[in-house]
Amino acid sequence: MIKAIIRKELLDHVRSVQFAVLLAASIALFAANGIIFVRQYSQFNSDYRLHVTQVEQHPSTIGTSLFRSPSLLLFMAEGGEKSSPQGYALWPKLTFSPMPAATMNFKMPEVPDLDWAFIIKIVFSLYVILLGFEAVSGEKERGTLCLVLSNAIGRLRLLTGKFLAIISSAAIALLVGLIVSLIIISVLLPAVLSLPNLARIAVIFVLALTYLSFFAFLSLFFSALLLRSSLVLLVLLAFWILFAFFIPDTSGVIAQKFSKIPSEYEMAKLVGPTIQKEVWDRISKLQDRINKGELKTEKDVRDQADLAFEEGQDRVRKLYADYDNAMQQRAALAQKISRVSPVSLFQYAAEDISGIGPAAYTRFLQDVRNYSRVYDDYILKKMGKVIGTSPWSFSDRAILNGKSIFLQSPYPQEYRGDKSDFPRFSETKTTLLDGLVGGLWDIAGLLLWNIILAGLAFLAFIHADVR
Amino acid sequence: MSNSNPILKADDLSKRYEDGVLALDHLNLEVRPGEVYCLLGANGAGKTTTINLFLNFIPPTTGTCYINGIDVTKDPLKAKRFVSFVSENVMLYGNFTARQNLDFFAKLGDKTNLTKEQYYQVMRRVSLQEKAFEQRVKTFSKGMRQKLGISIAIIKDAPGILLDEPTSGLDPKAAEEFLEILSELKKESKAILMSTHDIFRAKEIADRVGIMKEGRLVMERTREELQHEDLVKIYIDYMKSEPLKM
Amino acid sequence: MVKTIIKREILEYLKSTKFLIGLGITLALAAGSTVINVQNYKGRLQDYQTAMQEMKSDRFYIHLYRPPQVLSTLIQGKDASLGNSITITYMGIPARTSGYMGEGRSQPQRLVSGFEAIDFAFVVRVVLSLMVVFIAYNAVSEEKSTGTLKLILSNSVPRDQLLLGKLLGGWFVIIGSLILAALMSLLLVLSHSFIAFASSEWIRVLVFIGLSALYLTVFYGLSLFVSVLVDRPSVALMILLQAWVLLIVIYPNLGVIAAENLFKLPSKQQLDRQKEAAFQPYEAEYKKVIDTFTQGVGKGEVSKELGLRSVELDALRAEVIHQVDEEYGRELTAQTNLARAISSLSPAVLFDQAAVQYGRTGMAQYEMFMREAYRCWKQDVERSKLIYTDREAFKKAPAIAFSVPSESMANAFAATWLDWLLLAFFGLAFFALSYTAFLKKDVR
Repeated sequence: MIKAIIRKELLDHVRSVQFAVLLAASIALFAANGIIFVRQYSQFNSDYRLHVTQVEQHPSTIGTSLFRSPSLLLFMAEGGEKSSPQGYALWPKLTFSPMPAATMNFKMPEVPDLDWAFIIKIVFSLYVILLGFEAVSGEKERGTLCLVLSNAIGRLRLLTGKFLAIISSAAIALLVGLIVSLIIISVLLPAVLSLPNLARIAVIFVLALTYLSFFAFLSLFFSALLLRSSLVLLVLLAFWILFAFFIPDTSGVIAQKFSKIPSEYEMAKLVGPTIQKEVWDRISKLQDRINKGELKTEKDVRDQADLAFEEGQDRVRKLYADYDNAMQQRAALAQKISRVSPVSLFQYAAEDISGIGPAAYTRFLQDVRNYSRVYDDYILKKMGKVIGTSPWSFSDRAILNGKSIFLQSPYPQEYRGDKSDFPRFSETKTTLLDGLVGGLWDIAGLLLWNIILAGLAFLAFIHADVR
Repeated sequence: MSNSNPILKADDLSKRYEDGVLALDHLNLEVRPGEVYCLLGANGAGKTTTINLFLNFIPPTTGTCYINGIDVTKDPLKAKRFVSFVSENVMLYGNFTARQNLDFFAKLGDKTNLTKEQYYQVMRRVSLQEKAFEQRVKTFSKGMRQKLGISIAIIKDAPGILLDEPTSGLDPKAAEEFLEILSELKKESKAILMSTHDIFRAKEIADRVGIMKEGRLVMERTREELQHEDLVKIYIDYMKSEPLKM
Repeated sequence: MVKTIIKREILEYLKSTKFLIGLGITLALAAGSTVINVQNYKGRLQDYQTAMQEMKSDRFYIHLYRPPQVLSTLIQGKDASLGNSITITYMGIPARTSGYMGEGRSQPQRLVSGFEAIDFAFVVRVVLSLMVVFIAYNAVSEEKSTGTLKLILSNSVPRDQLLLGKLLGGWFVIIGSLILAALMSLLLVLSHSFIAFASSEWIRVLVFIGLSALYLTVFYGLSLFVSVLVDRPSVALMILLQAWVLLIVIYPNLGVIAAENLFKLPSKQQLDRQKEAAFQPYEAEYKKVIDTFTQGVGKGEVSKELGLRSVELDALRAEVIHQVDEEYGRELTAQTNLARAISSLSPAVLFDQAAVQYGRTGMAQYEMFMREAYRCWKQDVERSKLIYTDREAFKKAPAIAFSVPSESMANAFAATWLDWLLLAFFGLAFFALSYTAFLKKDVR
C-alpha cells in the first residue's frame, strides 16, 4: 500500500506547477553553472600557468611568489575562491603577504556564486518547501486526508510515503540538473571527469539529498502541526530565511563580539607609530651612543642599526602572525556558530568534499609556511645570511670620529650563481577521504537535524486532528 | 398575491456559453410582490444561471432581466438596489462576528446608521442564538450561517429576494425555520425567487413552481393547481423522460 | 461605500494570524539587524575618530581616512566593505582604499550565504515583499471561493469601487507595517548618543521610506493581479512565490554573472604592462636621475636640481599610473552599469540601487572621496617640490586640507530618477492589469 501512496504522491508532485518550474530552473541554473565554470576555470588556469612559469623562469633570492592552483571542482563549491587571495608574495625570513584576488570588480554588488552548493542550498531547499508544505494540511483542507486514513494504513507509513515522494521529486530534478552541468563541463574540460572527482560528485549528490531531506521533514512537521496551508508556508519561509540568511550572515558579527582581536586600526597603529617609532628612536640614538663611546667602530654602528631594524621587523612579523592566527580563529568561531543552521552545515560539508573553501585555504597557508622555511634554508645555503625585507626603510647618518657614516636599511641580495636547484612549491593534495573526515562533524550535524525533524514530523502527524 | 407590476421579470432570457452549451432557453417568468416562486430542476438545469443573470454576473445571449422594471444589463447598480441575494453555502467572513458581517453588508446595501440593537433584532428574528451574535462566524454551523445570510437579506429591506438553493445541506428543523422566515417575508410583500431541488419544501411554500429541464421552463403550476396534482410525481416523471431536443 | 470596504479589509488583515506572524518576523529582523549594524558603525566610527587624531599625516605620508556613513546603520551597501584609509605620497596614489593595515593585509569578511549583509533595506527587499505576497495573494480569490464576492456584488457596489477598496485596505496595512518597522529601526539607531541625523540625513531617510513604499506597492500590485487572475488561492500563492524567487534571488544574480562574462576586464598583467608602457619614455632618464642623486646623497651631497627632477619624475610616474587606474576604474563602473541594466527588470534591483544611493553607501560617495584624494595628491606634489626649491617654505607649509563634500540630494535624485520611474511604471502596470482583469472577472 505504501507503494501506491508513493506513486500517487510522486505523480502529484511531478505534475505540479512547482515541479515544472523547479525542473526548468534546475536545468537553466546548472547549465549556466557549467558554462560559467568552464570560462572561470580556463581563465584561472591560464593565469596560474603564466604566474608559475614566470616564477620558474626568474627564480630570485630577494622574493618569490606562490600561487594557488585552481581546482577542477570549483563548479561544486566555489568556497569564496574569488575573494580569497590568489597567492602569496614571499620574502626571506618567513615574511609573506597575500596577493589580492584576481580581477574582481569591487564596485559590483555582492552576489553569491552560481556553484552547485548555492543552487542546492538556496533554490532546491526552497522548492522542497514548496513541494512539501501542503502534504498534510492540503489534504486535510481538501477532505482527502480522512479518506485515506479510513483505510488500513498506518500514519507512520503514510508519512514515510509522502516523505519519499518529496525527496524523489527533488532528486529527479537535481539529477537532471547535475547531468546537464556535467555534460557541459566535460565536453570542454574532460579532465574533470576523473575517477576521484566522480566519487566526490556522487558523495555531493548524497549529501545534497541528506540536506534536502531536512527541509522535507521540516515541511512535513509544520504541515502536520499547523494544518492550515498558507500558515504552514509562511512559517516555513520564515525558517528558510532564518537558516539560509540570518544565521550564516550574523554569525560573523557574533564571533566578533566574542573574540578580542585588535581592530585593523589598532593593528596599524601598533605597527606604524609604535614599533616603527621605536626603531627610528633606537637608530637616531646611535649618535648618542657613539658620543658616549659605547660604539667604537663603523662596523659596530652598522651592526647596531641593522639589529634595531631586524628586531623591529621580527616584532612586526610576530604581530602579523598572531593577528592572522586570531583572525583565523575568529573565522573558525563564526563558522562554529553558524553551524546551528543546516544550510551552513551543508555548505561546509560540500566545501570539504570538494576540497575547496576556508579549510583548503588554511592548508595552503600551511604549505606557504612550510615552503618559506625551505626558501630561507635555500637562501642561507646560497648567500650565507638571510636578510629580511620590509616596506619600511631607514636612512640616517651618524658621525664617528669625524667621519660621516651613512646608515641604510639592509635589504636582501640577489644570488648571482646557478639557481637551477631553486626549490619548487607544491600544494598538498587532499583526497575524498580527507574531505569526509574533515567534514565529519558537519555531516553528522545534518544527520542529527534530520533525525530530530523526522521525529518531530512523525509525532506531529500521529497527534494531528485529521477530521 | 397582488396585481401590481412584477419585481422580478425574465423576458425571453437565453444564455449560451462560449463552449456552445445552451444553459437557458427562452425563459419567461415573473415574480410579483408577496409572491414566492420556486424554480425546481436537476443540477445543471439552469436555475443558478437564471439567478446569475438576474445579478448581472453574466450577460444574457438574448432577452432581458428586469428588477423593479430596470434592465439589469443597462443599469446594474440601480437594479441591485432593489434585490437582496442569499447564496448557497456562503462562508461569509469567518474572522468577523455575526454582527460585524451584518453591519458590513448593511452598509453595502446603503443601510448606514443602524444601531447594534437593530442588528440584534434582525438576528433574533431569524432565530439565531443570542450568544452567537458576537461570535466569529467560522465557528457557526451551516444552519447558523444560512440564518445569518437571510438576516443580511432582511436588513437590506429590498423588494426582491433571490435565493440559490438555500435549504441544501440543512437538517429538517433548520430548513423548516428557514421557510417560516420566508413566509413572513412574503407577507411583507417581498417578491421571492428561490431555486431549489427540495420538492417537498417547494410544495409547502411556493405560490408558483416552475420546473426547469435542460435550460427550459417546461412546466409552471400555481398553488391551487398543485392541490390537486402530485408535484412529486410530475417532477420525477419529467426528470425520467427523454432529453429535450436542443 | 469604498470606506466600508477599506475598513473591513484592514480589520480582516489585522485579525489574521499570517499578518501577525509576518509583522512579528519583520519587526524582529529589522530590530536585530539594526542593532548589529549600529554596533558595526560604532566600531568603525571609533576607529575613524582615533585614526584621525592619532595617526596623522606627516611630511611624507599623507593619511586620508574615509568616515563611516551614518545611514549605513540602515542601508549597509558597500560602506563597510570599501576600505577606510588611503596613504598618499608624492610618489604614488593607490588605486583604491584599503583597510587601516594597508593593501593586501586587510581582510574583508566573507559572508557564508554569499548575499549582502542583512540590514533594514534587506528586510524591506526580502521580508516585507514576502509578507506582501502572503497578504495579497488571496485578496480576490479567497472572497470568490467563500462566496462573499458574489454577495458584495449583489449590492449596488461598482466593481471598480470594490477593487479600489480592497486595494487601499491592503495597501494601508502594508505601508503601516513598513512605517512601524521603519520607526522602530530609527528609534534604535537614534537612541545612541553618538549618532545624530542632520537635516540631509532626515531627507534621505524619508525619501528611502518613500522608495520602500513604492517598491512594496509594486509587489502588492503583482500579487493583486495574480489574485484576480487565478481562482485557486494555493495556485496563486505558488505562482507568486516563484515570481518572488525569480525576481529577488535568481534574476539579480544572473545580471551580475552575465555582465561579468560579457564584459571582459583587463587582467592585472595587462594593466601593469600598460603602466610600464606609459612611463617608458621617461624610464631611462628616471633611472639616471635616481642613481646619480642617490650616489650624491651617499657622498653627502644633495643636488637640488636632481632632487627636484626626481620628485617631478616620481610624480609623473604616479600620474601616469593613476591614469591607467582611473581608466580601469571607469571600466569597472561600465561593467557594473551593464549588470544594473540587465537586471533592471527586477524591482528588487531597482530598489537596492536607489536605496544605496540615498544611504550614501554606494560608489557615489566613494568616488567623491577618491577624487578629493587625487586633488590632495596634486597639492602634495607641489608641496614636495618645495623640499628642493624652498626648504623653509616646505617646513612651514601647512597640512593639506582634506574634506569630502557630502553628496547632495539633487545628485542623488539625478542618479536614481530612472529607478523611481521604472518602479512606478511596474506598479501602475500591475494595478492597471488588476483593474482590467477584475472588471471582466467571472465572479460566480
